[in-house]
Amino acid sequence: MDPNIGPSKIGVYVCHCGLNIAGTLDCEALAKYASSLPNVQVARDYRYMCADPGQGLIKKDIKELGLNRVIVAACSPRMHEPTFRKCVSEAGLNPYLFEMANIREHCSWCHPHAGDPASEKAKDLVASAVAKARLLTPLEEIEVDVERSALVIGGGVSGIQAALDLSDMGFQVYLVEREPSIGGRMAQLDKTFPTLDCSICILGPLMVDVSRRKNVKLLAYSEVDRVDGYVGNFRVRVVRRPQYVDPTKCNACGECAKVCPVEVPNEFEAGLGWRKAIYTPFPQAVPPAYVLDDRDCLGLVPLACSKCREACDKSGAQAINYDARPDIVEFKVGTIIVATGYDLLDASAVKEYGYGLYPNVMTCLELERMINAAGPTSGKVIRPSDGKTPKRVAFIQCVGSRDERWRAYCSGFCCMYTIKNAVLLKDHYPDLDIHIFYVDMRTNFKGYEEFYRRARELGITFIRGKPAEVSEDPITGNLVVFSENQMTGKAMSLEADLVVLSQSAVPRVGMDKLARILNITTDGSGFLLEAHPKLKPIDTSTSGIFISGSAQGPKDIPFSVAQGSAAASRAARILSKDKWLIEPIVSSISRDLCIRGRDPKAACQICVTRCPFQAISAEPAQPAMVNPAKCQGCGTCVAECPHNAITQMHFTDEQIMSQIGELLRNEPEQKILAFLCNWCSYAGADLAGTSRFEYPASVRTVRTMCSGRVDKDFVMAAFKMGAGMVLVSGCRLTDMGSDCHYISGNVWAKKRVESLRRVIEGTGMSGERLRLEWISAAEGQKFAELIRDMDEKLKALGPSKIREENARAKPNLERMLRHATPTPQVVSAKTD
Amino acid sequence: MAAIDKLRALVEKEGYRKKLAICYQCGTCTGGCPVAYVKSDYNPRRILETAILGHYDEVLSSDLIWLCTSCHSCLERCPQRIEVSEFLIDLKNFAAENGNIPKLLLERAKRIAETGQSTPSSKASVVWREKLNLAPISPVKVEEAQAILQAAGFPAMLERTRSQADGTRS
Repeated sequence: MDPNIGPSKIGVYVCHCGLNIAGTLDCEALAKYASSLPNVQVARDYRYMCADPGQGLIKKDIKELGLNRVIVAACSPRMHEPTFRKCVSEAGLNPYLFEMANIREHCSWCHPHAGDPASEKAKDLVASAVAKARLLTPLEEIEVDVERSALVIGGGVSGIQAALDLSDMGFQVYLVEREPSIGGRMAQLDKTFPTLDCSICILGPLMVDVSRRKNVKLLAYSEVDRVDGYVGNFRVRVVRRPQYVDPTKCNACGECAKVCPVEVPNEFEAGLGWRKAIYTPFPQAVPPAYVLDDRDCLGLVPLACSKCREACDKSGAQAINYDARPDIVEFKVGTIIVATGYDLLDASAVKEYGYGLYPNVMTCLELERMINAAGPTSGKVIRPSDGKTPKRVAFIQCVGSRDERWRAYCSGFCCMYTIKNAVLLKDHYPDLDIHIFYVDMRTNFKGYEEFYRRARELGITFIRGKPAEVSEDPITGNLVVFSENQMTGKAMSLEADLVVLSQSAVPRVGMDKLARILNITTDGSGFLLEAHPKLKPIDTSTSGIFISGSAQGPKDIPFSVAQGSAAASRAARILSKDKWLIEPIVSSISRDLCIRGRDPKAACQICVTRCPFQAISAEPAQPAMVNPAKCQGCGTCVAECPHNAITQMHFTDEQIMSQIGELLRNEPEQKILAFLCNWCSYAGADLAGTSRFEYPASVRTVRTMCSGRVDKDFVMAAFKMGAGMVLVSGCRLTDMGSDCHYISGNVWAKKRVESLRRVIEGTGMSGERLRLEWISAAEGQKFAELIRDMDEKLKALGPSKIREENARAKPNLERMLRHATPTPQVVSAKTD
Repeated sequence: MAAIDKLRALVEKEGYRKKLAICYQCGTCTGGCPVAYVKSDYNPRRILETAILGHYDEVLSSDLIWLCTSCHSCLERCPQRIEVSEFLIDLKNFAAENGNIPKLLLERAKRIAETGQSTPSSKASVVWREKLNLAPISPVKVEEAQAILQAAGFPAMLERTRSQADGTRS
């Protein structure tokens, strides 16, 4: 007989985890209690369930006793759920018929001295898992086709590396670059630290290589305009700006630029030099063809000026066409890699240093271009005010970085590039007097500290102290840097001919827009947010989309190249398969319950607008539909649907209601029921346990994938059942942005809880009994403090007041819950 | 409560430590301090660090804290948004309670309480004004100044400070 069907036959396995659990809880008694619960066929305790003999016990029982549901009461499901899912599936059971009760991180480790309340909590957690397990259904992973090609956005060194690796593996790659040439920031650099390789000399060959690959389609001067679809099947639309020069005819002779009358600041030269309206950004540009920037051109009509076309026609190339229009390119890819890099903060924002006001205060990139032999000054370093060679140069670090007024983070690479620029200056001008003002020197990768030492050997002076101000002598144009020298503890002023600012790295202009197009999340700083800071640093919250290089945060060249290869390898995991499997914990909409199906005039769009992944669509007069391949499984739509028409697999209303019922079975008015999102708050509670932060054992936890899943009905049902307090907790949501792994689930959780609090208060209950808190995965201490605080408030209110409030609110709550999913009837006595 | 305990409470209990302890000792406060350029011993970064390390006695008995002119340059420029100059005002208040107040400042405070002026007009200025045909300076309304100072608890504070200062400082 198929073990996956038929009445529940549950096996419960209580793990001792050595003394980690058994040192606090009586595991034998817990197993005995579990065996008294309805539908539990067998309950055992064992020293290490995750070890082979422990797993063997489960497999043996599935085969011999015909178990069709398995519960392991042990550590966090974030730790060993995959292990045991594999274990039960090896014994022929569907892996989604397995459930974990977290009695280690959420009980034994955080309540070592609680005594009976800890034992009671462990029992409730097991009973809750049993209740959910009764309602579990077997689920099959969803199979999707895979388009064996990739889109790489951004042609800097990181994107080039990703494209080359994927091309080597035999996949079709589309490399999209916004600028006329690939190369990115690295192409602008003179030398690279700490080896002083010529930057363009090592990058150039890679640029040429990637452009010549048969399976790489290079789309320069182009931007990604629209992306839809899902992992394995993204449809991409790219808009190519008209370059008015046919690249197949242009032979890069440059006759057009010679006659062009328009001069604009040259972006590639950090604005130091000039370029024409028709130009090629630098000699090694790939593709090499000239582009005509229509924002600079006098008019694109012979009446205004047609000098470039005349020159081109005369040369015989006949490559210029003023009638060019934007080109739309559409294609399908299986994966996307975002490698859009960084910009530098506008240094004039940091007013005390006078950039933009004093001509001899310049940025690091401007200096970099001046040092470069192909740069605007042919490698000569001069003062912008008078063209003289400086004798004294001062560098200022952390301009905008590590500064709460601008950018709180450390930009990471500025210490090293400043040392590099100083070393290059010393090499070109040995008598130059160089001072570097710094807050902390950060030189923490291979060969970097040695390079710092070399700079000191060369006689470059390092002064610990962040300058407060730079002022200018208007007659000489010389500058005075005011700073403390912390080695002497005295304020000092230093006269310099040139001051160079190391301003912070910031996200590329347009990052927000691109993140919206791709449905991926940015962090508080505006860089892209990775799926997990430690274990999934390349992935994003959207399956099939990866990040590479400085788009995720400032990175130097070796790091960016390594990430390019890493992103290619993450992408190839998907591209190398014919079919990709998607976890089936997705939403589905009942055709019968969706109001759009029942009432052809209904215009309800709630689920469609709530879904951050555009996984739900609604045709006129048709029930809304979920595309399971796009659904990431947050469950926000389920909680938001006013008609209870949506279900999330493995986190159904019935399953969660049954958990609530068990957790509040005894003395509910003395309990705190906590709904925790899997990624942040549940992980934060795990960390509280791992860190052994003690807090009261009155809290009972329910795990949902996202705080967006927490239905109003859950909270009202909890209060109807008599709960003392309810906590809804998710990933951090601040003015700086949302850390939600599903982009906006916590935004909806917040709205819901806030409106719910008014409802709760309307029924005469104390508003403080419903809490909404953001707990990140790193905030174990905050979680423990929060529960301590809630427990104090719970005790201050007292059980009798809570019972009284609950009794008064109950009729109202029952009325509001009349359309909700009822708490499944659970029989308390053992049935056969 | 003794002044030193008040300072300890401010720093350690009232969340002030969180504000101070984020200081990463970049020295922007000192580098931009107009006093530090004329009095090289004066270093607000070090005063902050001494307080953060819990050497409250050392901070409160220091003469240097009185040199801060409350120009607030440090507060404006601090990359960690620490209100350095506001903290120095707190320090001066605690030090005054402790009796650590330079005699010159004490005299000046007394004069304000009594005459409403820190520097009364001198005879010479009266003569000069007459020579320049300027109207005589209207007399200071001492009662008004005193009413304001009374409301702020100034005379009591002055009395307390003076009694504590007696014998401790010359």
